[in-house]
Amino acid sequence: MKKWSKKQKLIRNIIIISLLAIGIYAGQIALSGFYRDADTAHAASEMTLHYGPSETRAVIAEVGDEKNTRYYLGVYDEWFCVDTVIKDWKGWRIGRNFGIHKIDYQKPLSYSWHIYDNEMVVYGVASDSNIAAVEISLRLGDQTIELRQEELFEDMFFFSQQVHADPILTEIRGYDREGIMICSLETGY
Amino acid sequence: MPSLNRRSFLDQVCSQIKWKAAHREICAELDAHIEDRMERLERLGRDKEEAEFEAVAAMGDPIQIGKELNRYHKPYLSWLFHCSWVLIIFLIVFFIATVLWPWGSRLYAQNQPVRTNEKVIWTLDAEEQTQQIDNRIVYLTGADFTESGILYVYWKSELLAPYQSGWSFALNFDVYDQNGNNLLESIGYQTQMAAVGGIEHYVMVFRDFDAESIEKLTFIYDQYHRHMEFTLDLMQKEAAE
Repeated sequence: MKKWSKKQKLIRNIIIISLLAIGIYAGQIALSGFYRDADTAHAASEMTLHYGPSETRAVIAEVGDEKNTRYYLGVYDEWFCVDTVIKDWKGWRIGRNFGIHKIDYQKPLSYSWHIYDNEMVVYGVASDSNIAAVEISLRLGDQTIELRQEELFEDMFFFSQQVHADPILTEIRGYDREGIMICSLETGY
Repeated sequence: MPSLNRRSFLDQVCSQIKWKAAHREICAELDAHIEDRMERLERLGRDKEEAEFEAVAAMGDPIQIGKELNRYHKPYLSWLFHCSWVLIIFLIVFFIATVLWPWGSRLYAQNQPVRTNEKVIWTLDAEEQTQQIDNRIVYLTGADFTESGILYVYWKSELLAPYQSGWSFALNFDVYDQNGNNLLESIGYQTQMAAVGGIEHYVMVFRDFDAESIEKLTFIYDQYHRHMEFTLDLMQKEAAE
């Protein structure tokens, strides 16, 4: 049998390394639930909750400390939801889901808020079509801050705020196109 | 050229080869050649010393041989070659630990039953009633009734795309008896979940279960326009062994 030269052996080893790397990558993707794009990961995320597919109102890309999280704001029939997908070197994976909430059509605004790590998100849907802008008040210790979204994502709104104290959503207000406040909801905190 | 003994010949060859890690392999090979030739010469009647000098002389100029071999044994090529082996070993270990092992353990665990350790009075095999909801398959596998009056109902769930992670399936079922009474409103149930090799096993725990009068259970899941229904005919129960 012909003896292989060192160069041939090196080429053989490089092929083995490539095959192993492909096997590991494919195995990692298959085992840990990674998707090639964010939209597919989002659809899978909703499906695992037996929810949706929702009508996406907005995709808020690359927020958070590492700029690797994408938020999907969506409405599905009588529910609204904010879903996240996260990107890392293997692709996109299912991230946090902030829960699915029923839209209360009796109220002008349906909303929810969550704190995760140091990030607070407030989001919701305006049932009143006159609402064009939404403002929220957050209490951070002794301080109160106000955030405003001048233009809704069709009927949805979304706030993301880095917080270090324990934040509390105290009030949420809806404004019409003239900037006149047409509703104000106290959260009771 | 002065006569060289075997050792000096090999030293001179190796002095020309920069890649030191290759010295041993080269020496062994050249030495084997010299040894072969010596044996032949000894068979022809030379004594050992004469045979050694003659065999070494027949090999040629050690400096020239060393230079030739040095061209072949390039240090960077040899380094790359050695590093490639280290990398291959590392990747094989990584592949086994992160791909083969979890995959194998999942396959192994797929059909491992999850049952209670308590003393069982009767048991029921649901013959794996199966329903699919989105990309998840849900199995009702059976039930055990224990002497402490607890009914355990066993479930299993897996994603259609195997090995993909996702949100856990929750046992958000309404449970009715044969008379339409909702057990959630009377005794309620607790749920336990165990992931065995990636397959999610769930157990519904009904405490103070009235096994005398309840003959049939209907489990209804109805959320976000998804509906599934399972039934458990308790009359099919079998006494535990």
